[in-house]
Amino acid sequence: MNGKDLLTGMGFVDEKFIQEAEVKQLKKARPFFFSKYVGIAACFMLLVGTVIGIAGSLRNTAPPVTQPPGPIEKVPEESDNFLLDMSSIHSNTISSIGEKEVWYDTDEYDVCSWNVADISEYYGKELQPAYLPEGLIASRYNNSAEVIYTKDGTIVSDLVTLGFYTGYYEDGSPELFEETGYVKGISVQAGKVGELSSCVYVEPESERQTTDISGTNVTFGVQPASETSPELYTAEFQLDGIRYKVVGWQIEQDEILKVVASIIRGDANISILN
Amino acid sequence: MEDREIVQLFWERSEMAIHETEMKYGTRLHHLAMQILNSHLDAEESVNDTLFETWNTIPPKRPNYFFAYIARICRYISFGKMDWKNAKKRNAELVALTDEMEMCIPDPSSKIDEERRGEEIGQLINQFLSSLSEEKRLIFMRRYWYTDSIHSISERYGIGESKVKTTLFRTRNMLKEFLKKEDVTV
Repeated sequence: MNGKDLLTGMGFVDEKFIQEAEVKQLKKARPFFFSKYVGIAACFMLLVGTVIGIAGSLRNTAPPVTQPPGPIEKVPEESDNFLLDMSSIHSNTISSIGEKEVWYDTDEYDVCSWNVADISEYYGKELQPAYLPEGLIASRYNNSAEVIYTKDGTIVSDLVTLGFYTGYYEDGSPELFEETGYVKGISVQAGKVGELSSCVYVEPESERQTTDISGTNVTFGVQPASETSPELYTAEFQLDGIRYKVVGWQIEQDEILKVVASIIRGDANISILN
Repeated sequence: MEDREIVQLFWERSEMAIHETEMKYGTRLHHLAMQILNSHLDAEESVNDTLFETWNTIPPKRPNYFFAYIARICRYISFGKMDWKNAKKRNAELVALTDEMEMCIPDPSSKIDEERRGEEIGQLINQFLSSLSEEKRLIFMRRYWYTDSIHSISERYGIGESKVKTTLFRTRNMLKEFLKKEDVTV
């Protein structure tokens, strides 16, 4: 028997294993990096005008709210409708996204699991976007994050990954669409320290365009649909010392834009022009 | 269309079955065949042969996992078309895969087991796969059944390439031990 025999003999394994390897995801797969997008050829650049986030008051200012005595309940503020012009978004072309994997030796580092309260306390805010496209469900893994500490208590990785997809398999991994073989949804990664996943841009850094949304420069990326994969949109930005990366699979670009704007502005009152 | 509905069309001898299968799984089958044959023309032929073979075998068969069923036919046909003598020139990735598999055999120089039939090897690997953790099994299957590249597996499962390589290395060693215990070459 040789390597060829073994390789061809693999063809006779039980169909359940074949099916499993086609449809299942790893239990602890981080949905953010979950993709098998292939590289794209040549340069493709969408360079359209200048972005303008027009913050304008579309309605009269609400009358002042008098706080009743007793425990203070947070009253949602009446916020302005934020308008974004789709035609003025700068999009850069990406060829792939991937993980910058860093291994932490457990002899030197400790791993600590944070719950939602720990995450909010550390970041000083909720990381979940105020706006999410309809039909997306939060992943059960959103309720925790694994944080890496040195033995003297210094945090070296505080990355939080939030997934919002159309559905999930029993093991919690996002469902794949049979037509495309890809997930449908959005992933948000945030962190102050540690390596976020990387977007591989076709354009060199000097030629990359950013889009100003409420004073925050956002680098939008698009991987055009190919014969084997649907379109992919990404956004990278830094806000209040936190780096964010948003990725959308099989989601319209205007929805990604609204998610990003809602993170930056902290409310869901976003409208898109065009 | 759901898989069971497609299977039902085959049972009804409706030619729509072929059309629906091609629509739903044509690209994936083509990709699988391309991984092995590295030629669009040959891959296309494999896909057509797969559809034909599926038509000829359903009925009487009624597969539980329709995609796995047709993918297995496609893989088998594609390997049958493989020109092993010129594989080095035509598909370096496949040659690398063969070499990796070679490492799992306790004593590749042994000729005693060269008559072992594919089905028998398949049974052995079934046992081995059942003993693996889900993570190892998925990665192993993507590499040696679907002939995916390391990079592709890494992206599919959201793990680093180094982790894929390490997992494959360890799993190959486990397979070697398993085959040793099963007296594959003695």
